[in-house]
Amino acid sequence: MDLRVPLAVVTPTLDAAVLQALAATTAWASGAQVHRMAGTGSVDGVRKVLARLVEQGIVAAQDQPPSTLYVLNRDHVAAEAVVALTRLRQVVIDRITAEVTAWAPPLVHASLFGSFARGEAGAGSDIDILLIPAETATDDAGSGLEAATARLAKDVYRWTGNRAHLVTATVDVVAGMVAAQDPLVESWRADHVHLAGARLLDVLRRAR
Amino acid sequence: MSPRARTRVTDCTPAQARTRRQQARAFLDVAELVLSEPATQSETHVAAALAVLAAIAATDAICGLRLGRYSRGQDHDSAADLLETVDLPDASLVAKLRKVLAAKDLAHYSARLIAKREAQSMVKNAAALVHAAEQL
Repeated sequence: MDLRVPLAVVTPTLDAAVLQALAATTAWASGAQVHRMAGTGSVDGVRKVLARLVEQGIVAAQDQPPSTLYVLNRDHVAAEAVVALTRLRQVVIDRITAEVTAWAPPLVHASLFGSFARGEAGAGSDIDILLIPAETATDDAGSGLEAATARLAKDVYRWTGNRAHLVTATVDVVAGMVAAQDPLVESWRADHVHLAGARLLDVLRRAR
Repeated sequence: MSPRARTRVTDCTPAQARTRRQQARAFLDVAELVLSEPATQSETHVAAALAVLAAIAATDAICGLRLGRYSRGQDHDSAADLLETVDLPDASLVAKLRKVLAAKDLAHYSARLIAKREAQSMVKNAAALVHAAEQL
């Protein structure tokens, strides 16, 4: 799934990006503004899509010479479904959060990082997940964690069609990475979506 | 449905919006760190001032990531107006931003020190905005 434009699951065309852009705002926007928000296609292409969506009633238009302004018609019977599809990224976050918070023993920290956290994850992108378990895991807990992470990877693929890329590192390992100024740590610090446990910055601070 | 009046906004790339999000997180982290320790009232005041900066930066990040533009200038009410046009699952975020902004002059320019309870409330509201920005 293209997590930048989840609507592409049902309409893999410019229409998806246009609806995604319109669903992000309750304000009226010109065709050029919608094109900029959509971040794809041509201005003419976006205007043609808007005309088609106006015909379907899901988009409302108003002449404001020299422009025509557009807004998602949230009273349309399809609007709720359209908006729900634009929010699938949050559904993915919520499902992964629900799964990792149920693990025992609890993780010290879990977060999403990489292209997902940057909002750049396309259909071919991995979903990068950082898991920091307690450093004193017993053998039983260790095998439990292994089974849980394998299950999580399968679940993420079933939910999204994207592969999960799991990075599992104990606090000791993270401390070593911080000391070695591993660039991966900087990428975690720069962009991450917190899922469970202590805040990443607290974990990194304690790991120094 | 009628068109809204334009606010003073500037275009923003996703990378710029993410940078504002990182700044928001950094402001918030320091604010929370100050409040987590026994602090003097001056230090508490600093946490409140940082909460304002965190809330504004988080708002810029949300608007930048969702709309491709954010509000500029000293009139931060226009930032709240723009945030109001973003479709967000949590409708209380605009009110939280306005509460933080209401204390901006006091936090940044006044000699009167902000009380701990008020600073805690400001940091909590800023945290909600930063959290929302980090989900995008």
